[in-house]
Amino acid sequence: MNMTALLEQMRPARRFTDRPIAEPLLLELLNDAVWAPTHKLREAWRFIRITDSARPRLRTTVDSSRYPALATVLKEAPLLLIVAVPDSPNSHVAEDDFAAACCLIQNLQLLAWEQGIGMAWELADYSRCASLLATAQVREDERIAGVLGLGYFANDDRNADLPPRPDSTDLQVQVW
Amino acid sequence: MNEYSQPRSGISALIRDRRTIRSFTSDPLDRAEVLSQLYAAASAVATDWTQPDARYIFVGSDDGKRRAAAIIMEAYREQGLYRFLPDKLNRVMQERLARIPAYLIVQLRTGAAAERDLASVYAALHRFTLLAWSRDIGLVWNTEPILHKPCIAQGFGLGNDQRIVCILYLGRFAKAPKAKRRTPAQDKLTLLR
Ligand SMILES: Cc1cc2nc3c(=O)[nH]c(=O)nc-3n(C[C@H](O)[C@H](O)[C@H](O)COP(=O)(O)O)c2cc1C
Repeated sequence: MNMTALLEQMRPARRFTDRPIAEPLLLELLNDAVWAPTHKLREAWRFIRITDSARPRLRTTVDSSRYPALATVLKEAPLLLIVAVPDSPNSHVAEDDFAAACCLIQNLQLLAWEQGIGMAWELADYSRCASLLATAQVREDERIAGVLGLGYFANDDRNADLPPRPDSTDLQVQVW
Repeated sequence: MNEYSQPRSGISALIRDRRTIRSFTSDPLDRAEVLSQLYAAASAVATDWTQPDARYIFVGSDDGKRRAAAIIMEAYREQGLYRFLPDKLNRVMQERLARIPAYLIVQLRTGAAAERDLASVYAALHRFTLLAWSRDIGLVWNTEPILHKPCIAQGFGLGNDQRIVCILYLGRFAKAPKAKRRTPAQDKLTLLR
């Protein structure tokens, strides 16, 4: 699939089938995704894969009334992955590392889509979710760039009609 | 053993082949082409349907580049970096900026969900980077701290609640630099049991 077609089709996943994602495929996707741009080649990201035995523990740390989407992903997605980045005291370095992790996560979503795998990217300011961070063993000098839920699409979901795309002419562009 | 169980998909090859491009040919960029790639990239959605309030300045005309380069040079001067350097170096830098085919200045209105908005802009810019690369347009992200100087905010017309995200410098290129190896994902993966 070419990039233009992929961009038109891709959407965040909401529902998944139970079909598990094979470990070698996950590694293959991640090993492509790490080809993100990363300033000074710091590759400052880190992956935390939540196994099924850890999932219930993690779920109890999330207040579903405050973080409904996150709670749903933790419950539904067959594969859970947290991408953590250093929260460097140097805000410029911290932002570059965060940006690189976002590029990586975007790569992963594009790559996964091509395999029929949808990805939900839950990102919020988790800095106050102390028990989530502690349970996931995110270090104090790190922050979360995304809680990712991955799974094969339910047949009816891949093309499910979501609200209309934002009108591209809404983009604010000035030309100099 | 072969590292890959399957032949690479188109997207996999695109993602792996993309390189940061820092020197450009003098070929002009077609503004409509670049902007349509930007539209395609920005209107695709990674997180949800809420779009960040981003604003882009596409700088492609000689006049626009002179204006933008003057603002950027002023930020370097404010930083003190070039204050003591001879005018000649200033001129060299300014000429280098003038030779880059186009700049994209990316601004964001920072609201309550600043981190989230920033992430969606970064994701959109990366989609744009990949799409542009697939059409032989290369670019480099610039996020230097000088972008947060007041003269940048003023020169590029930022409101109080807006910030610069980055400047992308873009153009066609003669040859892609060699890839620098990435650390295998396995080495950065922890299992939470
Ligand atoms: C957030 C961000 C900021 C960057 N800033 C710069 C920069 O200021 N100057 C530069 O030459 N490259 C910059 N880069 C590009 C990286 O240096 C580049 O991705 C890295 O060297 C790996 O090379 P590759 O992109 O060709 O794989 C930036 C990349 C990112 C993601």
